Amino acid sequence: MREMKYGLLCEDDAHREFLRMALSFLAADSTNFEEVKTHIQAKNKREVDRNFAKACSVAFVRYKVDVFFVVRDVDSVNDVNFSELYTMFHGGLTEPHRHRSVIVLPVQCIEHWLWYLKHYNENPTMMKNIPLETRTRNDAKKEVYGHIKTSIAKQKPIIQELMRTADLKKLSHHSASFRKFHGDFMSVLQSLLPA
Amino acid sequence: MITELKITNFRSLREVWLDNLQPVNLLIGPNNSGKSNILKALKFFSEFLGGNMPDEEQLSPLFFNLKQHENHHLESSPIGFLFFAQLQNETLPIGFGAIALFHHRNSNNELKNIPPFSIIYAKGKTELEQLSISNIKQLDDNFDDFVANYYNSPYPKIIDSNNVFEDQGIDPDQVSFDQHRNPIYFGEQYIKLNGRRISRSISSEPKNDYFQTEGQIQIFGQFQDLKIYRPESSKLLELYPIQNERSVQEDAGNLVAFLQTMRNEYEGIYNTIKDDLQRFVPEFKSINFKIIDNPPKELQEKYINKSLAKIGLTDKFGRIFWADSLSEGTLYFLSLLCIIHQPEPPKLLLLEEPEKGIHPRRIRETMDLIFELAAEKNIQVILTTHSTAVVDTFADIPEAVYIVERVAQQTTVKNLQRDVIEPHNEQFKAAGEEPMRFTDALGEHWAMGFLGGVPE
Repeated sequence: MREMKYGLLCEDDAHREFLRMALSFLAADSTNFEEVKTHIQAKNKREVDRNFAKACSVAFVRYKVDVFFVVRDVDSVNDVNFSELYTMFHGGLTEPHRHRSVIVLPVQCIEHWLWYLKHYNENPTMMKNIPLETRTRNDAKKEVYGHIKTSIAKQKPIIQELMRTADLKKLSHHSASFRKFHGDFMSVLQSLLPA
Repeated sequence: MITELKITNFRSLREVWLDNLQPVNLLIGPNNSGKSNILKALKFFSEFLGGNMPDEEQLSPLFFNLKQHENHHLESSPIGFLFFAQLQNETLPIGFGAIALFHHRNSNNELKNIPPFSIIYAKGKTELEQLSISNIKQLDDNFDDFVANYYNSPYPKIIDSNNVFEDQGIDPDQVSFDQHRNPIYFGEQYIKLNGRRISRSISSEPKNDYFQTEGQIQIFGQFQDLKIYRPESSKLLELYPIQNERSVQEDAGNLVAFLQTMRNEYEGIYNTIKDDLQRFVPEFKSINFKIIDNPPKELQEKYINKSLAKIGLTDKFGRIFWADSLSEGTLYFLSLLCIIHQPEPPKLLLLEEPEKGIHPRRIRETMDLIFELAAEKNIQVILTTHSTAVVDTFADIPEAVYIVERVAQQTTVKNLQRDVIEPHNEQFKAAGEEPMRFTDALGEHWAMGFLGGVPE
């Protein structure tokens, strides 16, 4: 089992917790991932947009991480917005770090991915895709956490529980944005693991 | 102007060195990192120089607890201050002074303070021209440690500090102190400094004359009557006696008396405060006072035979809003203006969170006032903040910003330019990366954690 350190810039702690759980799930066979505490934290989307490249460079140069993640809610269900954002982040990362970075852009927000997982738990036999990503962000938060505004202390166990039993294969199938993250991550992981 | 300041063993300050102080300086860091302790240490030093020696009970909690962190005895570590100052009208010479308060337990395990050891004055950083030492009763390991600690290269080394009393035929245990804890001097003290013998004749009279030369007066004058200003708007709601007060209290609770005095005796200052208030809070045109005929009994007893008044502001329609109906931000801002414009502000102004209650868009103008004050009145300012807008106002002078953090229960201080930005960009250069222009958005880069000084 290989140990890998990762850096992260995200909007909030729900992103952080989701990613932590997702990495342990997705790379369970090959790699233990540990987040490096860079103490760099954005508090909104614009701070992520303005500072992701710098945070990425700091993570690689100062903290010697193996891989870097940037997580930012798209806040829209529009494919064009997703593509524009992806292009902005991808283009903004400097060459030496780009191939070791993963851009995570949930459509519309990370709670929609969690909502899918909750839906699978509640409807285990249903195979049909319900396009939850067209629903509002507040709907997703209310559905996942019970309230629109909740503290991370309350969010964490909910995220952990949903991720513990997550059917990420199914989520990849239903959510294009998660599929993109999944594919990019596996590709970066593959490139980092010894042949 | 104080250019360097070293504080040891005061509260969380095991050893901090602010070594590039500017006319206006900013301390930033998470809550409980030790920013306020730096200001408190300065105030403590000021009170000490003013002759207020705390008793054992007051002093004991002020010591950094080495025992807890390094398994040393608490009593073996002095509270110490060392500072360098740039004198007016002098280019090169820099004065410095240091004071240490020792703390120990006697054979009965009773906690005792030992009165201060002090190095009072010297000129130059590499070669001392004058040195006076007082109260060297404790010429023991503590002294050597203390001196060695302070005289690390490139500063002058004291090579031989032993046997001062013995050389004079004086039993160190016989050196005594008067009832005010001032040392009673006698004999001649000398030490060798970089091979050069420095000596000073001392009298047998008790004395407390820290200020012997013009330079010393200038240097120690910086520390006179220091206050840590933390205006509390709630204090302005209280009635206060009308009496002559030319300076603002730390909590600004005496604004009624202060503003009355300014109106009666310092018309220019009063008008400046009024004009600045109107510039920042345009809806108010003038400052009012109202004498209360029947104040509460407890206040009558507290302020016997005094007229008590409250403060208010008048809007453009002539309506008066008394303190209890004004916003906290307005009251706080009025306090800040009074602190800044008081006729004889301290030479070193210590200010906690000047942004409190002020709209972010007004913060730059407020800070401009503080920068102007420093330049026009030759006042040095050290302030703390949690505001990114205040931090942004230091974008042109990152060397005036200190990052305060608590590591392993000790406060550490880094100079933003020298200890954070420059090493960062050197590391990036070595890695073939572009340097980062942190000062383009200094507040944001700080709050996001690029520069340190953020909560875990």
